[in-house]
Amino acid sequence: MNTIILMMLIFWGILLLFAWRLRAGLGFLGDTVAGMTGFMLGKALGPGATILEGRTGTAAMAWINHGMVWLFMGASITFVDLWLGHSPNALHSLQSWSWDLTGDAALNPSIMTTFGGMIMLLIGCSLHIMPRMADASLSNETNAGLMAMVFTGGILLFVIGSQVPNDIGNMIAFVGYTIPALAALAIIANILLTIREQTTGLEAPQWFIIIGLVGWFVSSVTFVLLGPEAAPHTLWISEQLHIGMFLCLIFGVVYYAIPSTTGIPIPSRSLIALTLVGTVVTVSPMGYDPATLGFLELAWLPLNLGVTEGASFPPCGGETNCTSSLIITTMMALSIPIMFMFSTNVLTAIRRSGAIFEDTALTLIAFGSFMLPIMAIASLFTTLDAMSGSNELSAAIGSMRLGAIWGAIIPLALGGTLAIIPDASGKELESQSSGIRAVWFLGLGIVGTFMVSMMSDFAEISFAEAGLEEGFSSTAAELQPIASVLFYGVVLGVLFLAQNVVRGTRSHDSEPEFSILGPSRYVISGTTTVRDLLTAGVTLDTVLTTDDGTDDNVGPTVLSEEE
Amino acid sequence: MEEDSGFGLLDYMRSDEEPELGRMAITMGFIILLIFLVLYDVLYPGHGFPVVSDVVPLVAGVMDSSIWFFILGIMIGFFSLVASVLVGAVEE
Repeated sequence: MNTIILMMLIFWGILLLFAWRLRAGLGFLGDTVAGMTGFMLGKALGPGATILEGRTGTAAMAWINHGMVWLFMGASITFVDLWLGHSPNALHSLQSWSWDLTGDAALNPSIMTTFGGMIMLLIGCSLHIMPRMADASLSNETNAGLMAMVFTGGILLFVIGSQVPNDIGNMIAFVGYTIPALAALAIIANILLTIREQTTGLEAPQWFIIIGLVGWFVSSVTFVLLGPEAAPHTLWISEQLHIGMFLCLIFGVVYYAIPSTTGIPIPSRSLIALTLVGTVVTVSPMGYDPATLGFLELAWLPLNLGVTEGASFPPCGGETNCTSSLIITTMMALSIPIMFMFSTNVLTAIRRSGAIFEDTALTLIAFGSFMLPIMAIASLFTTLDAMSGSNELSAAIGSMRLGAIWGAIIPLALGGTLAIIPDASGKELESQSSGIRAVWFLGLGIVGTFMVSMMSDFAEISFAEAGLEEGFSSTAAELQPIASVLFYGVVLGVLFLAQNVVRGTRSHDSEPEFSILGPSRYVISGTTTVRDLLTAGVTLDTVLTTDDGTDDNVGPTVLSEEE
Repeated sequence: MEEDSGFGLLDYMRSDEEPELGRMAITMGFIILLIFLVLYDVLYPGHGFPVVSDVVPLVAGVMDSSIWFFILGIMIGFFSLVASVLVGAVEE
């Protein structure tokens, strides 16, 4: 059977089996298994289990605080990477400390810190959402808090290892990549034990979160199962499935965050269900960049560097079979409507709340939701161009990756987290106005960076098309520094948001606030239900009026006086 | 000293909008620094400042790219973030 088809079937099969057992109420986790897992998370740690106090809710905030710091580091290192893109020797003076930070040396740590920070934020949110919706306390709060430190240690090890250009450095980086995965595995076990106590069925955000977390591992397991021979073709698919599962996690957090912040439900439950199924069934085209192969070589070190060297999407054309390419292309194209479904649902809910530009978290979510379909469509072009082997847009693929990650994925994850923080920690943001200002910094920074670097890329493409392949467009060279300076806005935005979080003020009112009102007036035509009214965003303060059908202005349009 | 019961000198000396001590210290330090720089230039014309003149060429040699200004901002931001986290932890 075709490798890619086999890979996708295994991926879907494992997830389907897991979802089926999960729907049955986690009965497959017998008392023995559950007890053993609980022991491994608790007493098996020995003295480590007593390091933290384990107060309720502290683990979620520990993950979120660590994640905020790593995200800021990720933005900062990405800025350095962008700068080194046009001035490779800007930091050559560090060589006097035996630190060779030139060329693309900042790329690998930028990926690890950015995604590490984002995953920490999402796990922090999950540790709050899952017990809250299960109406139970987290199975092991101490272990969850401890794992935040372990995860942070792993990221730090990877960053250090990636800066040591020899076998020992590669090994340190590999260990650094593996440790966070183990920590995340402990979190999954913790969450499964928590929802085992749930007496009701799982809610939609819970499905998104658990499928996202488990799917992240299943995509890696699938890649390993198919072996090193298939690795050149399965590697990128596995990475794109990772992005899809991160999106699944993000969607779950956002779908929980909006109703919990505004008191207004998400408009369409059908679209929520379709988003869940669609995220699992399709493959995301976002975030693909062959330049990140060096990162994957460190992450999959035991595979031998030669295996990943020639990694590419399945080839098509000539004597080769195009089935794999067609399947991947179709699944990538099908992910676009899923992005639109999520975006429409979320933007409608936020518009009804009237909180855009007033609430930091909702403004950031709205920005990310707006950018998501745009970045998905643009990424589809660059990724399919790389898959087809034409490589006409290869110069723009790095800018596309940057725009998709910092323009859509990070704002959604960060916005969802900011919305949850008051409930998780009992602390409000220090200032909503400075938060909105930070969102402006972040938004204008990434949009400006994306646009200017795309201008630079297309100047380069035009230069190459003109047959001047040996040279480099002066326009592109002038635009690249502007793009990197604009990205500093993202660094400042994330910094201000992080400061806003850590300096947050203790909320005096423990009750949720519903100051953000829905529509002040709502017209009912015909019979309706309270559920439909709530779905339409109506609140307790909305004035309901009936449509008595006496509006004479509405009627068939007269096309002609003669008729 | 007898208490001034009328609308006299003490009313003008009793201020209720004293500036913060820290702000006063910074302002005074800045003024003293300016006076020192002017005096040094008058007393030793053409001579470099002690210590500072030795450090500046070293820094200029290392930080020969404008990226260092941005990195300086990042470092200040990072340390302010860590300081806020530590203060928050100590407070609780």
